[in-house]
Amino acid sequence: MKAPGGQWPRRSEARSHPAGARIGMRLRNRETTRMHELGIARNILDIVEQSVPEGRAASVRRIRLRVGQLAGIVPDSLEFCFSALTGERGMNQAELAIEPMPTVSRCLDCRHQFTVEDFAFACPSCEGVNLELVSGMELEIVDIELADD
Amino acid sequence: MSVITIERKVLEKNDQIALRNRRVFQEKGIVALNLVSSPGAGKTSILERTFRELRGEMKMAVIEGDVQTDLDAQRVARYSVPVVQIMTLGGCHLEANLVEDALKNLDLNGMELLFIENVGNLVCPSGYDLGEAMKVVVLSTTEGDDKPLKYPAMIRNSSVLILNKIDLLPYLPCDLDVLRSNALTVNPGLTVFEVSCTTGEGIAAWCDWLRKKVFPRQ
Repeated sequence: MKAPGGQWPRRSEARSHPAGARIGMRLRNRETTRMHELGIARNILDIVEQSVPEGRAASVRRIRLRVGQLAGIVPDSLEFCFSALTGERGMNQAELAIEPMPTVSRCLDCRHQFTVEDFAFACPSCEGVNLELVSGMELEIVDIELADD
Repeated sequence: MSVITIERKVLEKNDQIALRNRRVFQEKGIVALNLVSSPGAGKTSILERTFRELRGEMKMAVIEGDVQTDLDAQRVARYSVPVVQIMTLGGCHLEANLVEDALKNLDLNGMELLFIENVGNLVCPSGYDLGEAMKVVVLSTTEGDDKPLKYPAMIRNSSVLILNKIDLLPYLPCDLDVLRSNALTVNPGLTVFEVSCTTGEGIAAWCDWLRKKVFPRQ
């Protein structure tokens, strides 16, 4: 659903409402990402394009991605969106290898490091709740595997 | 096969813009709060109650994020608070660049408190830094007391939890103690407010907290 001309128009209109005050400005998103995994997939492919040597996009076979449990990503949706976009980027054989990262915390009171089970953020050793997150928020590209020419 | 090591964050572009926004807020002395919840939990109602309580005391503004319409902007504009409406046209969350654009359309001089009302969604907005000082998550009693466990990332990434619609508790199978303790299990550091936008109960405590955030020395 794109506006004629391909770009979303930027609207800047003051609009009066029943009580007479004015709404300063209305902005429209220029690029739609209906499902946020679609935007993520686009970002991944942008970074891959910037990272592989010129003309080697078609050789990309595997992109390794770390996804933390707290990153708010549905892996199936991300894989679906990724596969829908590889064709238009000339990376038909590229696959996404998602490495799920567990939620790991360190207790700031007793320094005990532990994997958080069932999102219960309390230290199993001293029951402290003063924790720092060691892992779980990742959304990172680790590396890209290229087929030899 | 050859391997190129990258080690780059997928949302690095968003994070860079969020950092720019955060610097602007710091330079201008603006407390920016990113308001998140499921659709219909009461974010806009909380803003309306807040403006009724705090107008005249501090200079506030709102960035409204919605998939469609400027209905929310119309609601808050009634309180003579400057508002910019962002329509994401299908997008399920706000990103830092949209907030940066919106900031260009607000007078930041003298502004003290900025609410960024995110698109109603308990999943996607948790991963996107907008440059805010903190996320404020709203859960309502009608959603059920299990929601903090079903959407832990959002609860974990927020600093404040507002439990709304407490006036409806007599009619619901929702246990407020269970709701609160589920949220604190996921994030023991949460500051929790229990409010009703219909009766106004609890709004004063929330507004006192805002006053302390905006005027920490008083």
